[in-house]
Amino acid sequence: MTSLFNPNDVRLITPELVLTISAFLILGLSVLPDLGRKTWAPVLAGLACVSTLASLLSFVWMFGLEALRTPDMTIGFNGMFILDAFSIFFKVVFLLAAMLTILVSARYLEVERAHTGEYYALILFAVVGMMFLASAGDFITIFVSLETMALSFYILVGFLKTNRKSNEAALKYFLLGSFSTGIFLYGISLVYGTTQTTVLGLIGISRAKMALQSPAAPIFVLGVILVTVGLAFKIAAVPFHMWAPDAYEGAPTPVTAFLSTGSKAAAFVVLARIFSMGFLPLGQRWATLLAILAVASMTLGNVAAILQENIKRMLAYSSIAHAGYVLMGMIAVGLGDTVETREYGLKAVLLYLLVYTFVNIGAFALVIILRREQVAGDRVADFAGLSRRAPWAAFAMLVFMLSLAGIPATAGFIGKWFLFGAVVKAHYAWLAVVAVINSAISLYYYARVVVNMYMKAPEGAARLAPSWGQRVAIGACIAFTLVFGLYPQPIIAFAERSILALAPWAS
Amino acid sequence: MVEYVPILIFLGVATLFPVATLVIARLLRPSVYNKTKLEAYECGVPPSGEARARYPVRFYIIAVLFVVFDVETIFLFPWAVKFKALGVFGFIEMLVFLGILLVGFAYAWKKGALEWV
Repeated sequence: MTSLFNPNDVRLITPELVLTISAFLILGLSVLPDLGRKTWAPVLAGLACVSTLASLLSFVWMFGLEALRTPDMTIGFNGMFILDAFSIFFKVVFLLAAMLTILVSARYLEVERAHTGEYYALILFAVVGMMFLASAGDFITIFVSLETMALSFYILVGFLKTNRKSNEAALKYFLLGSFSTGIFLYGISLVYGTTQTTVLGLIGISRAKMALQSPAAPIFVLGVILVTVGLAFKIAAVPFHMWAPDAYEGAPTPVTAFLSTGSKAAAFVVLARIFSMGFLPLGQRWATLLAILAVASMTLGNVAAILQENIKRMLAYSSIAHAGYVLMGMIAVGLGDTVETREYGLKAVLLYLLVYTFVNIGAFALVIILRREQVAGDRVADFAGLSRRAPWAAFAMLVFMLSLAGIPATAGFIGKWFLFGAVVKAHYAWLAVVAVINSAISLYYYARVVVNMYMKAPEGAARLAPSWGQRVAIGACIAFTLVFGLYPQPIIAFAERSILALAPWAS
Repeated sequence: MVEYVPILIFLGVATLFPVATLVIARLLRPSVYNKTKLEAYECGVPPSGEARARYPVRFYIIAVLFVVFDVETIFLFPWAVKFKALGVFGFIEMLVFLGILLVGFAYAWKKGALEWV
């Protein structure tokens, strides 16, 4: 046991500290009555994200992304906190998602009459949780930061206090979420019991193999299964997806956008880190487990999405299906017979989550700008004739729908290309076939939105009035989708240099 | 498996003891019934009203605040016991923890959670 605390470690969590202090500042300022309409809150929250991003990138500038792939200098708090390239990649994704969410939130919350400083403080607290998750090298850190994130989201989902649907969504999400946390914690305790450590790096190297050969092996395997179940709840994989459609539909739409991208990506970070650092010797077994989840999520998500009339529910089921696609990358990590295949799988996961963040927030941003006084704007039918009322908004939605379906020349295609390639490389080609069939199914309900926008007469002539923040966010999402759809090299290189350094014994 | 035997014995004792005490008490005690004995116990005062009565939602905020400060004490206590061993690190860590709680408390106070409206 080394010393309890090394003051030098604090510099590793500077970005998180910046964000935490800003969140407290916003929380404190928001109770002062004389600060009026709270227009300062989104500005302050945005600045907090930008400065956090800057302090994060200063690490990259200091050490270089390549050196951070195999971190020695940047492991702190006795292995509980790892600042490697992998975690930086995801922290960037979380911060970008938070910034886009903040940009689209203000006008929406004013329409809902729920524009308060606390909302932005909670968003920032959720990001703090996610950022610690990305860096967590220990089950205890993972658990605490998972809860930090989840508790913020429980409140955010029920943020529209006078809206019954929002309340119902929050209650359902809270009950199922805390139940899944319990299962996750039980899994952790079994793994700890059989390996005598909570540090992921220590489990991975030899203790997982030792635990497998000991008479307590079934208990260890049960622990792995329970950890998988706990995380499957968080990424909303079938059959642990029940909360998702209700929570997504009832939550304020910007929160739904953030929940479906940030929270999902955060759960995948943990999944990737636990399975490729801690449980890699069990790769064959958990890959089979994940394959079942992936096939179920893709199929049920896509088929159920066809039936939805509410676009938020449709996007919820689509997001369940997308969790299934991303799981394929993890399957390649577990099954790959060479380190290259495993790293290819990880790269696909990283790339897809980055792309999905932009595309999905973009799609939800369109749902957000349809919300006006007296118009809920969350039915698929509300998109009817949008091309005549607001041609640019219709074009934006077209791009996002095509990208979600994975049509070439959009970023979504690049993401899917790598995911499907990963399972083929891992000799699981049948899974790629299932995924391609599912993509074809998904085209139906994405195209339905497009048909509504371009081929139906508008129901009213009301014009849309997006705020400049919403314009900027949608513009950024379109630019990302199209530019990196045609010229994906920069993001591929970013993902390639950020993948988790897998230990050489992996193969 | 041998190391689990004490737990098994403990389990047995823990099950037998309450059963035995109840049975013995039943055999030894005189049984005199009256109406007051069958009433719900409310700290010794005569019971008033039903247990399922509605009560103001304001109590929840008080309960949440109580839990916050209860948990604070739970963390302060072991720190106080190990104060010397933890040294300056423990002291600063505790200050940070109390600072965060204080922000929360100031927020709740300013927001009017302590007022009985």
